[in-house]
Amino acid sequence: MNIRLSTDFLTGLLFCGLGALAIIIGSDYPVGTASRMGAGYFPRIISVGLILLGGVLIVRSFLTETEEVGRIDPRPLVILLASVLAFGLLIEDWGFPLAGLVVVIGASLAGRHFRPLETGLLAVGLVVACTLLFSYGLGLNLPHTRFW
Amino acid sequence: MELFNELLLGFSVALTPTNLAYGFLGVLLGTIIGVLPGLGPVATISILLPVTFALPAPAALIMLAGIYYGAQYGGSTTAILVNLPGESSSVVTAIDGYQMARKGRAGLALATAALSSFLAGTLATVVIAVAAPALAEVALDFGPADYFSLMLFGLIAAVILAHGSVIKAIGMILVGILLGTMGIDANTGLERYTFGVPTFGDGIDFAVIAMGMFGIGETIANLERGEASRTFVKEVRGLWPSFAEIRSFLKPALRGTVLGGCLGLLPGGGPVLASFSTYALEKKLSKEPGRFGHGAIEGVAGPEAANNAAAQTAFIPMLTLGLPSSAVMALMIGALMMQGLSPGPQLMNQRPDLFWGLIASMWLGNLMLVILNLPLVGIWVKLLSVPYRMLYPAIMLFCCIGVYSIHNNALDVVLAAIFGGFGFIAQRLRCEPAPLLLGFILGPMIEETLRRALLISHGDPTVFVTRPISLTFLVMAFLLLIVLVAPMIRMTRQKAFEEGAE
Repeated sequence: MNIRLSTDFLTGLLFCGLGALAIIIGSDYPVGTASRMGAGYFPRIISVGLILLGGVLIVRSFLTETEEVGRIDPRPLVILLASVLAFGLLIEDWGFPLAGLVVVIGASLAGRHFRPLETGLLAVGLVVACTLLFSYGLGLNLPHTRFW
Repeated sequence: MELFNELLLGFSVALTPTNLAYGFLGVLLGTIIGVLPGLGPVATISILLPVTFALPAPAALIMLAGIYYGAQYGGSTTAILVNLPGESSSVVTAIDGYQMARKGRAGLALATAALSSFLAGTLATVVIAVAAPALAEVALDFGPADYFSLMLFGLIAAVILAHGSVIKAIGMILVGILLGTMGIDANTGLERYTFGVPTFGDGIDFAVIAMGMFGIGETIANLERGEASRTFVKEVRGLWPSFAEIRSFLKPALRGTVLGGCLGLLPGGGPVLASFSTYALEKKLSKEPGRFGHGAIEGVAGPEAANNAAAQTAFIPMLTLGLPSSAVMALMIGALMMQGLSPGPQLMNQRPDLFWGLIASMWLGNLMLVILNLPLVGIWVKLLSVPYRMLYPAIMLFCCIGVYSIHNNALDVVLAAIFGGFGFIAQRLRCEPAPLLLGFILGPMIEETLRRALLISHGDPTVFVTRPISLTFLVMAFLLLIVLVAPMIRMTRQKAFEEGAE
């Protein structure tokens, strides 16, 4: 993916979007007065500031030459995030060992060279080591995988 | 001789077997992650935060601090032997350190780095012991308005010292502050931005954001860039420098300590800026600047001393004012809060054991690091042969375990993935993640002090300029802002970075 838009322009859009979103969601938070601020007072100031900054970035991107985003390889982004998400979805129902295997193997797929045997050994080794270290050694409460 | 008694108390805490063991574990972990490129102290400390919950407060702080300054030592080993910075603060060390190693002086380069760091660490520890109590004394008089102005000043200073676009850095701080408002409002009990999800009532845990943006986000960015091939110097000889060699790096190391120590105090300054500035300074002071880039020993000693000094003096504002000057310090404050302690000037009186124990442990930790890094350098060389393709899946697994075990909540893992994606996008848009984390930590404090200050003054905003302490910080913040917008000075700022990177 090659994005020819400038980083400043996109950052400006991002800031404006986030600021506007915060104002819209928080539109019914009471603002109050300066001496008795409501819950909405402070977020409102910050959101407005964010929108202003975003506006400056957008305007500036039209006036001066700025850096383009350039080529983006979506593969690591998508695969890594998917494997972390999978860990989150699996851990409570299927337990740590399985979720751990999934995240290690999934993450390995994001690299350029995938070696099945090496990855398999790495995944099993890491999960065993982490179970021993974190569950038994440090007493963290990681869910077990049940096979029955 | 109050200082002497207090240091004695500190050593009596730091020298207990448990604390020694956790201190050693900290510096060992720090060295490992410092040596390994792609895993930094921010991600490591966030992963270990949930674990420290079960430890007593001094042990937890001593271990986490050890990771931080340990990483400064480990990072230089990679920089010298592989020409690849293990830590962002050792980028400069790689320039001359690797050249020294290629010329067969790897042992000397490593010894210079370790001994300069040790010297800087020792001096910085003394500075903390002397300066921190004095500063805490002053800070006890601070009212809400003063704190508000101080934090404003801190954030502006952080922006100045950040790389890249100033507007983007401010924007990232504001995004962080907005994220910090999530959860139940402490004053009115109203839920803000919780989307009706009960877990969001306490807001997002900042370890989730830190691990998402630094752990996951950076890994994506590393993979996307592709892995650089590594050629490294395996042969290390002559670890112990001669007297003449020690003399040749003593002065640059002392200069680096002073400059780094001062820069470490400033919010957003920290080890990276310290090492760059010192390299530039040494190059200017040198009679033969042509040697720099071809294995000048000053180019290793100065920056290494500077980054270690900065890493340690960064603790001063954190311990005395409760003000984090960097992402790592923000995590330290998080660790204190998890222990039920509130960082700030009262910490030193409430928990002198913790305060002085931590300071004493820093010196002990530096001593351990010299031993870990010089005689045992062979082990770290072996560690370097672990390829990144095996390393990053492990990092991902550690991140997942770390995030999950904060609250045993799978939703946190999903959130971390979202922040990982956001972190990567921000990085491609040339927005740094560190200001966001600073904003996130300081945001709730800024809102609270703003509210309290205006409540006391019945809504009169002049309270910020009529109190002398507050006015001083505002004037300093204003002066910094002028520096920021003056284009000429901005140019020099850029030049300083470029010169360092040359």
